[in-house]
Amino acid sequence: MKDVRTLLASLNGKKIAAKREPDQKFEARNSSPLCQCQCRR
Amino acid sequence: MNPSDDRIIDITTGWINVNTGCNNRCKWCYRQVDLATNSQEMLLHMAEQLVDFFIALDIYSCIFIGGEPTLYKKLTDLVSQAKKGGIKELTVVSNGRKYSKKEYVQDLIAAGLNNFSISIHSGFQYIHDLISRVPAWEQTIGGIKNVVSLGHFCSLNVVVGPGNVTSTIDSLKILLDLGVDKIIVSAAIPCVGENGITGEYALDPQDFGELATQIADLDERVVVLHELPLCLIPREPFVRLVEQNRLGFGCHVGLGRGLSVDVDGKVIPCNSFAHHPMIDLFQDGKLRFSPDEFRHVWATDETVKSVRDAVNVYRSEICKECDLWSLCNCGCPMTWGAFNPEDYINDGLLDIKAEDVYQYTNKKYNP
Repeated sequence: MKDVRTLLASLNGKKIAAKREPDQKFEARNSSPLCQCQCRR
Repeated sequence: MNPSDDRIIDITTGWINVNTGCNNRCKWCYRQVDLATNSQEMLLHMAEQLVDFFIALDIYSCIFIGGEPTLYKKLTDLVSQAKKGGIKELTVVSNGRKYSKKEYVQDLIAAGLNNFSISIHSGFQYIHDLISRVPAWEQTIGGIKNVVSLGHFCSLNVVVGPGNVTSTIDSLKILLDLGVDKIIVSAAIPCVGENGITGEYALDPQDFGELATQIADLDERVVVLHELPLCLIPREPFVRLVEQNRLGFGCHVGLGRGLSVDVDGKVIPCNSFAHHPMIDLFQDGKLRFSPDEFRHVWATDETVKSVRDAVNVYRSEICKECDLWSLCNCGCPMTWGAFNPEDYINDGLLDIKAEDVYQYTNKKYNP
């Protein structure tokens, strides 16, 4: 069991805090997010 | 409770990782950390409680995943339970090998499964078996044919890594001839290994941008799942894929719209974060939360919020000016465990508005 926050802190990039969150209006209620797991992952 | 923190998030999708074991050994499996360990199974009474919990949360889409979920003996019963509870979209993500037994496919259809989502690495046997590291192709192809022959929705997942990228276009043409409804092509993303994130078998993000350009010319049943910055796709194929509703993007972690439960009953940010829990849903074998209690925890828990904050970031100064960031979030965060975003993120799509892209996606899902 490992700490998820430590894992995320190890990622590369500038990690500039976004002043906005991803806009939820862009996710329709009946759109299953595609990932490889529906993979859509 | 601080009311200002109590933002209700509409959880649309739930994943249940019913096991960690698999009869394949795929090189870029996102659970490769489990490949060397004894397989684990979710206790049945926990899985049953989870399905009921998803029903109570009014989740739209429930996805059974692993491991290899078809190795879970009571999978059909869980699908049936979810169907009877009113969950509208039910998916099993599988390597498809067990579907080579037609009766099993028929049982899942009878239970109410909507979507057979089958992972295959190639239309070429030797490539698939090389990546799977077991001779699996014949069973998987047999399984695909069985699902198609029964007239059920069949979607293939082709994850592209260094071992199949050069043959993918030819491979897709072979797979389309099987008569499947859809083929989702995505990049092999870095994943959790023994010592943190590893990109050993991941595809260079730029290579996937170039592949997406070629896919734009193929049959419209082939869609691109771009878990990478959208700006990696050149402008012309990007616009074409969008206008044809053939482009998936983004990460649900920053939104909180997806609820992934690991084999031990703990909530993880997504399936790629195996054994990195945020919340334990169970105590002494019983669910700790009512749906309303969980919605509050989901909106206010410090660990969950810190994970969202860590994902909702611009990985480059360019992203500050990019309206499309609200769609792609710079892609899957795991990518940046092995690659440097400054080498990839560019200003090629800065003049395109998210709303202009979204109108096509919205039309797709709400015709």
